[in-house]
Amino acid sequence: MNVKVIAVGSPFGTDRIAWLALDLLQHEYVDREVHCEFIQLDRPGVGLLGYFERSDVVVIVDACLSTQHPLGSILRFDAHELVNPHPVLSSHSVELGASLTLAEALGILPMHCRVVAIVVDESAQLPSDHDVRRLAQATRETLEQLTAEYLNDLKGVFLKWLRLRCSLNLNSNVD
Amino acid sequence: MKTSGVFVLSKIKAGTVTESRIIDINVPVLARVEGEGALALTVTDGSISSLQLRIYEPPRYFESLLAGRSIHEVIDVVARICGICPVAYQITAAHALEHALDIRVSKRTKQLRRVMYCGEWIQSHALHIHLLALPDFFGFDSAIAMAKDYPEEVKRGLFLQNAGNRLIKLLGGRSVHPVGSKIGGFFYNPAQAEISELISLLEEAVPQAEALIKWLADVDLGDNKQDFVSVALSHEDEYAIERGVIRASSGEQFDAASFDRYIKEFQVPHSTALHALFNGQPYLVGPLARLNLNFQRLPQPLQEYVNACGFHFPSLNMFHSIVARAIEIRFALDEAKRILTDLVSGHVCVEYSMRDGEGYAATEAPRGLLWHYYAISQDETIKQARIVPPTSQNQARIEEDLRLGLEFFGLDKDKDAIRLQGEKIIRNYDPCISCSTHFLKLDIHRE
Repeated sequence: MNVKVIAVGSPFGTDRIAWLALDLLQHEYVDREVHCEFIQLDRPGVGLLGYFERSDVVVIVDACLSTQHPLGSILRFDAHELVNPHPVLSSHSVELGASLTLAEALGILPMHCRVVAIVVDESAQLPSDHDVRRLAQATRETLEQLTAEYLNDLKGVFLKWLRLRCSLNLNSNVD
Repeated sequence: MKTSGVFVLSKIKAGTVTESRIIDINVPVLARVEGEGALALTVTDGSISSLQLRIYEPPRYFESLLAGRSIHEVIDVVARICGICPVAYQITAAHALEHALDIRVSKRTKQLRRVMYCGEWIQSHALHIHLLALPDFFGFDSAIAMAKDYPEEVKRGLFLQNAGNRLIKLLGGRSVHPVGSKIGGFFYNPAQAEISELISLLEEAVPQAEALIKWLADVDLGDNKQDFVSVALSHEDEYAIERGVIRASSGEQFDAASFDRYIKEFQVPHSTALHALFNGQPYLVGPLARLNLNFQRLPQPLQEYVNACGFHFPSLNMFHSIVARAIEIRFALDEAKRILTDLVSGHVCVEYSMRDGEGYAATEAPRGLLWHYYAISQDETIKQARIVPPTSQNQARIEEDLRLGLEFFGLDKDKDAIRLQGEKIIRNYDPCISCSTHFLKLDIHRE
């Protein structure tokens, strides 16, 4: 199983919050049985797509701005929900939604892919430690839930395959 | 920061515009580098009587911002002028400041700067071809729509872009607004293991770039032949990127210090970006201009490959710009591989002493000739700075191209068709204003 947690951000102000959350989180995963790759990307644009290949479970962590949610709100999305039929795509600005939309169009957006985002104050110099910890916690929960869903789906596929095989064997015995 | 939001309203009754006005300028918060353009076109008796490419990118005052600052801040500040070609700004600034200070950098620094510049050409060209320009030629409204029908080609473009980004990251620490460059060289000298890894990646990328050129030979790019002057750097020993003399297809040749004698910048009322004329005429800078002047400086096997694919340079078909970008990707991959394979050992920075001085430099940014001038004081501050980017040089040429190209296309066509063709012509230059998919609002008057 190939599991990735990708923190998207930049070195500037609160936009670095996903990187800081990942720093906290990856220490907890050093000795876990499930190998998880932790990746920090600096404004990757469509470069994000290169990390989707051969991935079974992907959690993307990012800062976001919202006029509809209070500062510090943690938002979770299925990546497929963020696919936008009219994304803004320019040479200078490829936002997360546009990258996910392109990934879906190319057929490389993983089935098990979630986005965890925290609403930040872009005028603040630094994210608070409290928000960093909350984002790390939310990412951990999403990661565990998504991994469990993936294993469950895999189990379902395996059982289906087993039933089909048994049924073929039975039929062949009858013949 | 993202800046955007020029909205142009047009109310049309029976094919005649009765009211047209700009009603809003909106600068939303948060994003990276943006700008917006609009095209105002008046057609009288079937011909264009007025055409203006309006650029509303707010003035950014970078040159004034640099005045009084330390010379050591310049390289990081000018990188912010452009999110897609910061390396061009950094290396041009470094060259101009080193000219002012009479600094001779090491051979390794020269080699690595050229490699870094190759990386920027590769990533910028790959992005423009696959995500911005090609959808126009296939009739898709976006790269997303194109990706569904041409997934392998788009993936190839993303792979090439990543190869370019990796080269920039090797020397800049990151591919967006890299931080590795300084006056006199680099802060970081890459290790052989990192270099070897990149050579392998470049070897993998070269055949993909060749496949891209061959694939473009089968794409109907259309005909947009025009008579124009090409201006680019040229070098007697190599395909010019970061050094050379400025040459024009009309025969002139001059160094960066003589830039003002030939090229005049001026303000027009409909654009916040300065226009520029060469000897009083619009001129082209960029990949097509470079190939028109320097095709013979490409390695012989690449020249033969390009010709075998059916492309011949010089070309006056403006839509061959996309082919020129693909050829330069192929060249830059091989050039970076060659340099990294033969890289000399040694230091990547030199000591220097301060003095009063003036320095000029010109390099070839992905979009064309980029020129910098600095006057510096012995107290390590900038007295004066001037920067002439490629897009402002191309503005008059874009307007001329629109006029000729749209008349050739047919002004009797419906408004949407004219708008799409106008967008295609503008995007073909990869302008460094708002390059977003729907960046052009057409305001057409028919009388």
